Order: sequence, then structure tokens, then C-alpha cells
Amino acid sequence: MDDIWPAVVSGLVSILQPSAFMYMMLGIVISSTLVALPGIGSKTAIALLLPVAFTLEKFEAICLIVSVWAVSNTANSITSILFAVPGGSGSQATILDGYPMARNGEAARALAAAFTASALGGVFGAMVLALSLPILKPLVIMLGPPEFFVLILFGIAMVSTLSGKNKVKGLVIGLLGLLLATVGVHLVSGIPRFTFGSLALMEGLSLIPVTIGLFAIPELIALVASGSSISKMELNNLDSGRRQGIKDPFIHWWLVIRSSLVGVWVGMIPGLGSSVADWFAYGHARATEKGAEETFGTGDVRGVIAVDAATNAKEGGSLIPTLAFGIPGSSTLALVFGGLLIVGVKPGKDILTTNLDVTFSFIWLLIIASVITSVLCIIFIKPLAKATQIRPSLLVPVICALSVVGAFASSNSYYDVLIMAFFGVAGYWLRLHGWPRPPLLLGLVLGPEAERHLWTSYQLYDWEFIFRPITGSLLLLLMAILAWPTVKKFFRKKRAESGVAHGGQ
Amino acid sequence: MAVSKYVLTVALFVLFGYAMARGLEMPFRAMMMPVFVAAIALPLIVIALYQDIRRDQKRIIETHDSTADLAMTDSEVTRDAFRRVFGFFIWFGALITGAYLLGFLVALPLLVVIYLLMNKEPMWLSALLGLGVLAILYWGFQVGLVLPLPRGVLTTLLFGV
Repeated sequence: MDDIWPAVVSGLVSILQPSAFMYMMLGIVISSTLVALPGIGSKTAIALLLPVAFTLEKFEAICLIVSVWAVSNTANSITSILFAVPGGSGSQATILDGYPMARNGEAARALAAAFTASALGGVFGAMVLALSLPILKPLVIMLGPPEFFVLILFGIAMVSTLSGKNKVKGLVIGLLGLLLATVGVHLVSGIPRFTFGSLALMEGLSLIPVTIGLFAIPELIALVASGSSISKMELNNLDSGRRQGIKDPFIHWWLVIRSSLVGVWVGMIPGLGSSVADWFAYGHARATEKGAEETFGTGDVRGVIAVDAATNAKEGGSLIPTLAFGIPGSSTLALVFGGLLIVGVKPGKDILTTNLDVTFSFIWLLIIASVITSVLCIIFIKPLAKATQIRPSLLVPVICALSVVGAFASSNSYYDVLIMAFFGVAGYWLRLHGWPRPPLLLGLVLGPEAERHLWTSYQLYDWEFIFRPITGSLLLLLMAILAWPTVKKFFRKKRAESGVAHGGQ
Repeated sequence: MAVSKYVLTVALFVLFGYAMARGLEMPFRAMMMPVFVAAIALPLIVIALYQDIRRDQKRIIETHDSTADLAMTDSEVTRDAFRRVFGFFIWFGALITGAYLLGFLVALPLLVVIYLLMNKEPMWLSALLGLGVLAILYWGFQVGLVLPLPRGVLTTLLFGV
């Protein structure tokens, strides 16, 4: 415990350095603006900023990467509330009460309530993360390479099975990510693997071109295919009601705490993203709040508060498995994780022991960035709302051009632009046929670590490492989770058949 | 659409099959991961293929899953949408080829302007955005991040280094 307080102070001092603070502000502004733009998600924002982060000092890079990610769920409420178009996966449930509020002339109140609840949720999530550190530290030290190997498989499998309807396809894509991570010269044996004699592939596939290709390009294609802007609606009623909106989450403070807890819990489970957190929180609020059955769905501010508190608290929760075990729970977090690895921050044992100040800088960033973003969003409601109406035909070529430069900048190589283009087409093809893309990114990021742990485990224990108590239990749990839906379906079918048979008699 | 779906599944099978075959030729240390991954993936792809065939035979219409990834919307699978996407791919190909031949500072702003004009945006706005992109590339990347943006094969041939 003695080492925690100096780390708390050191983490705060590091991000309050003028240059680091400036990059945090830059991350907040870029993230909020890009997320508000139609069709541009947080992954695209992070992927486009990663090349910039690589040129920075460690804490400057942390500030830029983490702030872009931490606040990405705040500004996406704008389109949900104003136009009933989800600005991101975590703002779908915001529509249910946010849009009716806007139609009732309370758009500013709904937005201010959403932003304030986001800040409170973000702070709550960060606090839970901070409180969990003393518990996590001994737990992480207890685990060895076999356990970490299985935990990585566990994380990829969870994200794979939860990122689409077809679990099998999700798993295949997760494995594809692990396979793509083996491209390049094998660090232990020095043997080139799947390089096809190309020098450009010797160092493996860079994270940035793959990410831009896999996520940014298909999102731009989606904008091109849909062929229209979000809305041509007039932006009225954005002045009155802000003050009341700011007060609302404080009036319903108990709802904010409960929803934030829901968010943290969802965040801690790899694979359950914002799209689950928002519905869980909304469902919880609807089931527990007084009179909610009658008022929810017609423009009740509590519906907005619950969702936005949960989706932002989720970020703190999702950092728990990421920082402790090195398992990012989502593709966006995998991208953050990959970016941190490249700038020399390695989640896992290191970050909870020798680099505890880095962990606390994350926590402080979550707190400070959440509050600043909410304040900025409340102040700049109008320009942000206007940004959502920009025509896709203006956005697509500009973002595409920046994607090309972003891919090139990762290693100053034109091959990376080609890799980006290849994964852009592949990403669109996968999306077209319902193969989820997030597991691929997770596999690619975690692949090298998984291979290192697999090899060390084999050297230490031979194949018997899979029978170690924690490893074996985790493997059994993993198999049970994967098999459960099929088993459930089988028994349901059996029951239905026996029901028909009895009915026939 | 159906053919493209099966081509994708078969392509993945071939990819993992290749990884397995090449992996088995490697020393044990290097083969461990690719073979481990391919050994699990190959049967899973067969299951996925079987599920797709069965779904097509039973004519089950897949509903779009809004909780997953970025779900395909109905407006994206129309003939018009595919035509627009095809046009985008041609432009995107030109952007990447142009960057190689003419260099980033020339090709990227130029193709941004072409795209905007093709989409019937006003000339002044197209030119403004093209200049904006040029400014970001030059001041943001080349000067700010000290990133040497390549000059392009053709421009180097014509105007020298």
C-alpha cells in the first residue's frame, strides 16, 4: 500500500505537465468532433491519431491515446437525442427518451443531462478502477505464463462470441487475428513466417494500417453506400434548459450510481461493450425507478441519465482486465492497448508493480478528461450539433486522404498504404457477409503475447500446463461458455419435441 | 451476394489450410502458434460453411444485428448502393495509385477535389477542402511531425529529385 500514494501523485503530475495536458485537450477536441461526425467512430479517430502518438513522449502519447478513447462515448449522444440516429453503439438506448425530449422542446436539457451524467459515470468508473488496484495486484502476481495464455484465449473467445450473432464466425476471425500476428520473422527462431519473400512483411503487419483498413475504410464505404447525410432538421431549442439538464443527474444521484455500477460490471466482462451497457442500464432504470413504466419512452430525463452514466462508467470497468491481465475487452480498447504497447507501456504485471504511476495517470485521465469533455460539450452544443449534419460527400474524401497518410506514417512505407487498402477491401467484404471484425484486431494485438506465453508455458511444464488448476479451470469455463448456447438450444428442441409428442397423444 | 459469401468462406479455409501446411514445415518453436490456430480454425470454418448452406437452403433471412460490429443496413445492400460503392473503389484505387505516381502532396488534394466535383459539390468548396487537405499534409505531417512524404515515381522521373 505504501507505494500507492506516491504513484497517485506522480500519475497526476505526469498528465498535468503542460505538453501532456495539451495533448489531452487535443485528444478530447478531436475525439468529440470526429465522434460527432456522421459515420466516424472512435476506432477511426484513434487509428488516425496513433501515428501522431508515436512521435511523442510516453506521457504525452498516453494522454492523447487514452483521452481520445475515454471520451468517445460522450459526444455520440448528440445525434441520438437530436435526430434519433445512434451516434455510436453505446448511444442506442439514449434515443428512447432523448429524442422524445428533443421533440418536446427539451433538446438542450436532454443533451446537458447526458453530458453531465457521462462525466459522473466516467468519474465513478475511474474510482472503481482505483479501488480495485489493491485487490488486483496480488492476483496478477499469482498468475504465470500458462494462466496468461489461457486468459488471452479467453478474452479473444469472449469478444469473438459476443461481437456478432454467429459465434463460429467470430471465433474464426479471432483466430485469423492470431494467425496474422505470426506474419514476419519469428523473434525466437529467426525464421520468416508467411512473408512470401517480401522484405516489407519481415517486421510483421503494422497495427495502424490494418486498423485503418479494417475499420475506417468500411465505415467510409458505409457512408458512401447510404448516400445521405444524417438529417436536414432545423436545430432549434438548443438554448433553454441547459441549467436544468446539468442539475438533473445530481437530483437523480442514486440512479447515476446504480447505472454506473451496471456500466462498470459490463465493462469488466470482455466482449460486452457499450451496446450492452446502455440497454442494461436503461432496463435497470425502467424496472427500478418510480413511475418509469408510464413515463419512460415518452421523454423522461432519467432514461437519458441512466444510459450515459453507464456507458461512460464502463470505460473504467473495462480497464480492469486490460491493465491487470492484458486483455482488452473490445476492439477499441485493443487499439488503445496496441498503441500503448508501441509507445512502451506494457499492461499486465509491470503496470501494477513497477509502473504504478502509469496506471494512476490512466485513472486521472479518465476523471479529468470526462469532466472537461462534458463541460466543453455543454458549452459547444450548437457547433457539435451542426457537425453531425455535414454531408458524407464532404467527409469521405478528406478522411480517406488522411487514412492514406496515417497508414504511411506508421513506418514511412508505401507498403503500409497497400496493406491498409487490402484490409479496407477485406473489412468491407467481411462486414457484407456478417463476419465480425473486432476479434481480428484483438487477435492481432494479443497474438505476440499469446505466442510468448504459449512457448514459455511449454518450456516450463510441457503440455501439462493445461492441467494446472487455474489454467484447467479457465479452459473448462471457456468451453462451457462456448458450448452453452448449443446445449441450451439442444435441450429446448428436445423439450419442444417431447411437448409435441405428448400433445399428439 | 451468395457466391461472394461462399468465396469468402472458402478463401478463409484456403488461408488457414495454407498456414497449417506451411507451419508443419517449420521448426517446432515457429510452428506452434500457426498450427495451433489453424487446427482450431479449419473445423470451425467447415461448421460456418455448413451453417451458411443450411440457412440458404431453408431460405432463412438474416436479420441485421444492431448489437454487433457495424451492422449492414438495408440501404447499403441495394443495387444503387453497390453502384456507389463500386465508384468509390475506383476512386480509392486512383487515390492510392496517384499517391505512388504523383506523390502525396499532389495526388491526395487533387483526388479530394475530383471526388467532391464528381459528387456535385460547388467548385469553391471543393477547392477549399483540397487546400485544407494540402495544408494538413504539409503543415501537419511534413513539417509538424517531420514525416517525409514521398514525391511519387512519376514526378521524380519528370522533375528529378
